[in-house]
Parts: sequence; C-alpha cells; structure tokens
Amino acid sequence: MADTKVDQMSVSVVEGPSLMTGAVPKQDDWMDVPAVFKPGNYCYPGKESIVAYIDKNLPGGLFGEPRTWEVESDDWKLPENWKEIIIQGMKDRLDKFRSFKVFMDCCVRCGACADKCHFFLGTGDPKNMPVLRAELLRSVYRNDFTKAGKILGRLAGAREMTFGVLKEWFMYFYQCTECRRCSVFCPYGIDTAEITMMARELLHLVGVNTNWILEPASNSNRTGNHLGLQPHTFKENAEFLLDDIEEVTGLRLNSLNFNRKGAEVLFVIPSADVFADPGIFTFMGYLLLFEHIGLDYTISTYSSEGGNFGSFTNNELMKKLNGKMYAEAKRLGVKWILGGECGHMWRVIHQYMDTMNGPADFLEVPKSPITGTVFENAASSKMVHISEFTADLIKHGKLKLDPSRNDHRIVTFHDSCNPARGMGLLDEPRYIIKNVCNNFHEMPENTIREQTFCCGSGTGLNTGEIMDLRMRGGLPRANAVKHVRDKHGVNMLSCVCAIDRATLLALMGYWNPGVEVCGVSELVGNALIMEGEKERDSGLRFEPLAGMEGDDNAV
Amino acid sequence: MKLSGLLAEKKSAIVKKWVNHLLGTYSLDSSGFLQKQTDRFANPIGHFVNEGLNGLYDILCDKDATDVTAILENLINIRAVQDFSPSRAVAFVFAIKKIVREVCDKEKENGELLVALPDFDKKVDNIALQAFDLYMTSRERLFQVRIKELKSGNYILTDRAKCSSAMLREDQRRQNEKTDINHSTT
Repeated sequence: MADTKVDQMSVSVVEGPSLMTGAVPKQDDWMDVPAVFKPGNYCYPGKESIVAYIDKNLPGGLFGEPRTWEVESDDWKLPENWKEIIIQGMKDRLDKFRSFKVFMDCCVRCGACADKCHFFLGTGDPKNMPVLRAELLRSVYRNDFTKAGKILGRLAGAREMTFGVLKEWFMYFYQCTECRRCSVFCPYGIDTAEITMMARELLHLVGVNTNWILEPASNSNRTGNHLGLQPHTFKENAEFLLDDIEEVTGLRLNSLNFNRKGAEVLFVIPSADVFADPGIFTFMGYLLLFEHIGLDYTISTYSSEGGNFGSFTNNELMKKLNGKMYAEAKRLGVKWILGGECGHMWRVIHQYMDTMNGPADFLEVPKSPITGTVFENAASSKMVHISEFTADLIKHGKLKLDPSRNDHRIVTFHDSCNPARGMGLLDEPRYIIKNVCNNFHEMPENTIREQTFCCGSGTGLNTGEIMDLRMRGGLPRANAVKHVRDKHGVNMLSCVCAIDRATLLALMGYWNPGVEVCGVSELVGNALIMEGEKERDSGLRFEPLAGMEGDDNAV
Repeated sequence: MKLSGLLAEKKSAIVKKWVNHLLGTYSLDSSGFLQKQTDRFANPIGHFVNEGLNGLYDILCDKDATDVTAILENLINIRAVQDFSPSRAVAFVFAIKKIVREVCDKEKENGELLVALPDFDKKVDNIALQAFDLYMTSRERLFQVRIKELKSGNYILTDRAKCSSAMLREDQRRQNEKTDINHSTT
C-alpha cells in the first residue's frame, strides 16, 4: 500500500495541477492558448505623466491616451475604438512601409528561424519561435487585408483582432529584442525585428506601452540622455573620471571638452558610459586614446546620448531623437561624427539615419586625421565606429601598446547584436583585442559573429521587474560564455554595447559568477603607453595588474 | 535479478523516458526540437536536461554517491528562472520512481526488485531535497543580482549625480520635513 501511495503522489506532483497555481499545462492549437500576465513576466506600463509628456512633444496620437492602467487587469482602459485604431494603424503602415507588406506576405513558414531565437531557446515557449511570433500579427493581417483570410478565416490562418490577441502582442513582442538572429537564417531575408517594431508601433497607438522605454525616451527628448542628466551634471560626471585616470596613470588629461565649436570630430557616446559601472571604464579608455593621438574632438551635452529608446517605440520618435546628432554636428561645425561603443545607436545610424534625417551633406566623408584613412563605408552617414577608428590606428602602428597590462584578463568577445548584424562590425573589435590582450578565446562558432546570441535584455527589456525573463533570454549567450570559462578560464566578457555592459553583468552574476564585463576600449586604455605616465600597477578599475597583486599601491 | 543490475542494464531506455518526461513539461510544439537538437549551444535546455539526468541516474545507481550538486546545478539553474512553480521546477526528480516501477513490473520474477525499491525511493527523495536546496540557491542568487542592479542604479542617482531638479526636490522634501517637525512641536 505504501508503495502505491508514493506512486500516486509522484504522479500527482509530476502530472497533476501545480500545487501553487492549480494550472494544468495544455497542448492546444496556439491560437487557443491565452497570454497570462503575472508578476515577473511583463514590464510595468508607462506612467501617465510620461505618456502625456511624450504625446505633448510629439503630437499626432502616436502614444494613445495617457492613463494609469494595470497589465494584470482585464481592463486596460483602452479607447472604445481601439480595434479600429489598430487596423487603421496597420493599414497606414502597410501603405507606408513596403518591407512590412512584403514581410507579411512572403513567409512560407519553412521554420528555418524557429529554433534560432534566444527567447525560444531559453523558454521553450513556441510563441517565441520567430515564425510564430510573427504569426501573432500576420493572423490579424490575413483577416483584414487578404481575400483568403476574409473568406476562410481560421482555416487560412486568420483571426480577428481581440483583447486576447492584444495581450499576446504585448507579451511576445516584448519578448523579442529585435536582435535579428532569426533573420540571418531566413531564406527570404525577412527582418523579424521590423515586424516587432511594427507591432510595438501599433501597441503604442492604443497606449499599450512600457515605462522602462518611455521614460528614458522622454528624458532623452528633454535633456538629451536617458537618465535626464542636465549638461552640468553630465560634464561633472565625465570630469570626475579624470581624477580616476590621474590616479591610475599619474596623468591629468586636458583634452576633455564639451560643446566646443570648430572641433574636427563630434564624439557621441551612450550616456551610461559617463555614469554607470562598467561603462565608465570604457569612457576612461576613450579619453586615454584621444589624448594619446591628440584628436581634435568635442562631446556635446545636448546630444549626450547615443542610445535611441525612441527606436523601441515608433519611427517618429526614433527620428526625432536621432535628429539631435546631426543638428548638433551642424551647430558645432564639426567635419564628421565618431560614435562610441553603443548598440542600437549603430543600427539606427547604419540603417535608418540617412533616410530619416539625411543626407548630412554639411559634413565631410570621415577621414582619420592621424592615419589619413578615408572611411568610405561611412560616406553617407558620416559617422565612424570607435572600433573601426581604433583598429585603423593600430593597423598603421600609431598606438604604443603594452598588451601585458591586460594579462590579468582572460578575455572573450560578445558580438553585440546591433553592431554585428546591424552594421557588419565583426573583425575590428577582435583585431583590437588581439593587439591589446595576450589572452583571447573565442566562444563556439555558432554563438558569435553573425550568429551571435543576444544578451536577452535589449530593446528596452533591461528592466529589473522581468529579471527572470531576462535570465531565460540570456541563457544561450551565458551558456557559451560558461563553456569558455570552464575550458580556458575566461574571466572577462568584452563587448561594444552599453546595454550589454549593463545587462551582461546581471547575466554573468546569475549564470557564470566570476566573469566580469568590459568594453573593448577599457582594454585599450589599460594597454596604452601614455607619454609621461607613472609606472602602471593597476588597471582602470584600480584592479592590480598581473604580477602586481602584492603591491600596496594597487587597491 | 538485483535492482542495481536491472538499472545498469536498462539505463539508456530508462534515462530516455526520464528525459522525455522532463522535456514534456515544456509545450508540445517545443519538445520535439528540445529532444532532437543535440548541439549544446543550439539547444541549451535539451543539453543540460540530458547531461543532468544521465549524471543523476549514475548517482542513483551508485550506492556510495550522494552529492548531486555538481550534476544538477546547471539544470536547476535553468528550471529556477523558467515559468514553473517551485514544485513543478523540481518535480521531475520524482518521476524516476514511476519509470523504474514500470520497468520492474515488466520483469517476470520481480520479487527481489520490489524489495529493493524502498531504498531506491529513499535515495530519490534525498536527491529531490537537494534539488530543492539548489533551486533556492538559484533563486537567492537571482534576487541578489537584482538587488545589486538596483543598488548600482540608486547609487548613481542619489550620490553622484547632481541633477538640479533632483536637488530642488530634495530641498523641498527637507523643508517639508522641517515644517512637519515645527508643526508637531508646537
């Protein structure tokens, strides 16, 4: 009898309803599986005041009615005609964006993308297969915009727009980081990220949004950066780092300057680099590099953010926030723009800036004043990535480097999705790392370069309330890092993206404790032999260099 | 036949059932992929489920081995952040009891096997408890990660940034506090 009881109990626990929630997993047709929101699986909605502010500054009903609403509630306080708004919004976008229309029509559901999404690999949820995530939108498209869908309905994979569908959109288009890994494998080249962008635009039309995206976007609109730092604060923060540089190198840098008209180059960074650990060390690396080569540059406190959270809402706000770069370049009269280690900033620049706010014919085709290299690849956008710029300097032997100063680091490199897949920046960061470090190990082939796995927290998903979800989405990346940590003793994960620098830190904290995160320019800063410097016994984080561990001066 | 002999003989069939059971806790649409894809980087869940349950089975078959931390850690790390209640996250450990019983029931002369089952069950229960400890360790670490992230943000906002509007708000708060104190003392 006792055995039978144990047997029954084990079956009950394993197959029966959950002891906590009472939920029994079902395996129905995907259209019949509802999205259920519970704490930890959704981002908090936009604050009423923030939505009102954005709506006021970018009129046109793009952000819906400002209101206070709760995601777990069945009443999202939507406008009465919310369905018409969505369908009309879809029609407008189908007319305006040829790519959207093509992507809605041409998928043959071959499934090549199905198992390529980091969220699918981390959750096992089929609605995170890119093809099925797109079907969430495509099914409504079929219903309202195709003959087959209008006549055959569900048989043709069509369904009406309902509140349940809206909930699904909000859940799954915020479990896509627009990283475009799936697009690499699509034989039709469908850019699934743009499908997510369209879905998010439609959600915004009826005021379904997240605060973590809207607040930084509104701050950027007001003061120029995500945190809302005003010019003097931004400047003070950056200058504060000069003290740290002086302590490490013995040198007081004089080249840092702001809003200087007539500088040759405008340098735009993700603002996190002046206030957040470990971005500040990347910033120190930039400053040492510019001092080393005597670059004539300036930083704007007006265009003080490379990141563009507007691109996570709609193309109008993306354009508005991006416009600041060109406007500031024009006002300051620079020749070209140099961009720091940022992620989606580069996707916006490489793929959208020129058509949104260009042509920037008041700027010159970027030419390195040190090497004379003309960056033809940036002939149109007039903007060069710091890694391209640095790699060119190294290639021409313009930098004095001591890679042994990074011997305490065993480094691997995470290809940040946007620079890698959004603009093809694959080899330059590696070239730099190999010149400034002695210990570099690649992660497995199917997790790097074009096939890189996302950090799991991009496109404004880097918020604390969905930490569980972020850890799931980041599992494939963390798994690859774990492999090189166990095999080669990797202790430093380098990257060229500010969101990565912030979120990989949490990801490593959970999956691979002991692995730190840095920007590539930090490694450059460590290795640079500066004229007149003191004997370096610590890195930019005040960590002792290899062989200096017992030195009292190193803290 | 002794239970240990049977377990060794039927290892691959039993572990396969166990793996299928665990992957069955994910949606039907996904479980096919999770079972078939063998590249550990293209399918981390499938990889760690296979690795974890194979290792766990070896421990179950080894009467001296008891510590499963190294074997189960990766798998529990994954289950702890997925959309499972705590009970469902670790319930897969108990499933081996049912699977092994089914195998025993198919043996013709299974008297000796059934006598050995309570000891086997005890070992499974012990592993389940360790699995729950590991689950809690994972959750605690997750909370620590979140706290660390929050703290680092707050530190920047409160201690370093001298945003004038924040300072203004701070001044107002202090003034209000003073007023409150004055009111309460008079």
